[in-house]
Amino acid sequence: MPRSPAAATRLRLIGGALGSDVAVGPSDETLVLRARENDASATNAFEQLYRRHAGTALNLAVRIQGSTADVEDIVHDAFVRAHGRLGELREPAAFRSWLGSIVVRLVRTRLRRRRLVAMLGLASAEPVDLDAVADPGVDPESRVLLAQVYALLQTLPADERIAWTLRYVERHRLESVAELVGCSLATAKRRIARAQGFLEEHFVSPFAEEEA
Amino acid sequence: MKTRLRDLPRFPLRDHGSPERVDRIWRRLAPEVGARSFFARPQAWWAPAALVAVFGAGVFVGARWVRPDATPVLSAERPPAVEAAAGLQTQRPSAPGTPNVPPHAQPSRRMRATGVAAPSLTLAPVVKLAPPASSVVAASSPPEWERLAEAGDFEAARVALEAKGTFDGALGTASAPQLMTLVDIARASGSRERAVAALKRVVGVFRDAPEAPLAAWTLGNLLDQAGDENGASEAYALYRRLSPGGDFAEDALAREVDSALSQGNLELSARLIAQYENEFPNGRSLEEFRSELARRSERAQGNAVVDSELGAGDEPAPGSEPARSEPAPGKARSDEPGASPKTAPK
Repeated sequence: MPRSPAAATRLRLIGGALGSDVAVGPSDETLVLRARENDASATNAFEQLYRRHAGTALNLAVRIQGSTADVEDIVHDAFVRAHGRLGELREPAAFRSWLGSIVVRLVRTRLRRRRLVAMLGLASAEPVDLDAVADPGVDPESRVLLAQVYALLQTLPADERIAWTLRYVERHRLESVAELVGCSLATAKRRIARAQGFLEEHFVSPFAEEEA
Repeated sequence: MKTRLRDLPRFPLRDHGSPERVDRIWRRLAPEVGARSFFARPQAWWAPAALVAVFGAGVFVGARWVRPDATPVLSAERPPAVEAAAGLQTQRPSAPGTPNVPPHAQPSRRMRATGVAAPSLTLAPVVKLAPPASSVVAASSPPEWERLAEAGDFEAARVALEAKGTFDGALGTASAPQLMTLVDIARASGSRERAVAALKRVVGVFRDAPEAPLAAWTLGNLLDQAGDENGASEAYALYRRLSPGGDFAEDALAREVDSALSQGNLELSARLIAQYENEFPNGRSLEEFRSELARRSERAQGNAVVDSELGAGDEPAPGSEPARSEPAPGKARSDEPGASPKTAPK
């Protein structure tokens, strides 16, 4: 489907979420060091960090959740935490992935809470908002496929769901998945494999008849 | 047919980082980040400084006001040295809301001085004697018996006291706080007489001392246990004069009413009950005192009629009891097993 160049720049192909933005201006490391200072320029430096990575954090939260519910709160809380713990960041250049791990933790907490509430019958399960995940220009077949994947992901435990989404929707490397989730590489592999096995077992291709 | 999900096509995903949304979040975030920029940083020196200050203040307060040998508040066991003293008293259970200060749980001298109202109006003539000069010297260098008693070892304190001289000898030279310590030692060793002597000296010689109200209250309790109702009433009355708004003021007056009723002194009882009603309109024992006074008054009138019919000088009718032999409401309840007295605790 043809798309305008402006629209194309807004889109991220799967796998480019945390690695495709090109920083303009001071590096993350410089900004983190400046934001740690106890003066007026600190807030300014943190604002630059925020504006550089807020979009990434928003997209990450939406794609893991499968909806835009509470994503602004999640991103807000993530940056508040990041600001409060900026001194704990040992590698200032790794701010982007460090922020991503905070977002992942917050989303996981929310997913677990939502699941518990749904189990108790206090609320219905949160529906997947496909329009929030896929670009409006995605073809109908792909939308059906994506809808089925997210519907199956909802039935998985939060950790497996997150690991698989990071690996196959966000297209992170395994090491990056482990870092974002905060687990060992082996655990990340195990979670992804379990989710993958479940999805392959239950996934039915919408193109089955054509393929047959 | 199953599809390998690794072969999923790469979908174009929606971008949620619109400038409007990013600005909206920043508007919420900026005040928090700005406010926290100073306090939340590891460079903030005030957090460890505040911790050090709080810790130092705690150490200072602990060293200054808390006795290391103080009985733990939540301890289920009583200190063995004080067990003997506890056996001296047949305590009345505490009424709800009434501060109960059994002798084994009484705080240290320093603590006893706090919370007791200063003596105000002295109604009875008081003979004041000059405090012994040696009490000042004793305060600077506490004797062995006092140090041991402060540590809770009352038996060793008694032995040390006997080694230095007699208990009565110490009474003559002790200051008010030391006298209260002597009271503790005497009660722990089972000597009520010595405890009473020390308490009488506190209320007689050191009537302005902060220990005096508590001494008067304790004296009343000990005399009451010894059966000296008159002495107990005087001590309770003294407590009320020394500490009109004290913790035990209501109980002290109630004890006086009890004593007057049990002695059959209806006139005094009526006057004390009226005073009780005036000072403690919501007093716990008010209704009971009223009904008891009415009952005794009716009985006294009936006895008077019988006496007048029998004629003056006749022997009392068989079965008729003198009013004095009948216990007061509080006494009756406290002496009966399983009763729930409302009068004051000791």
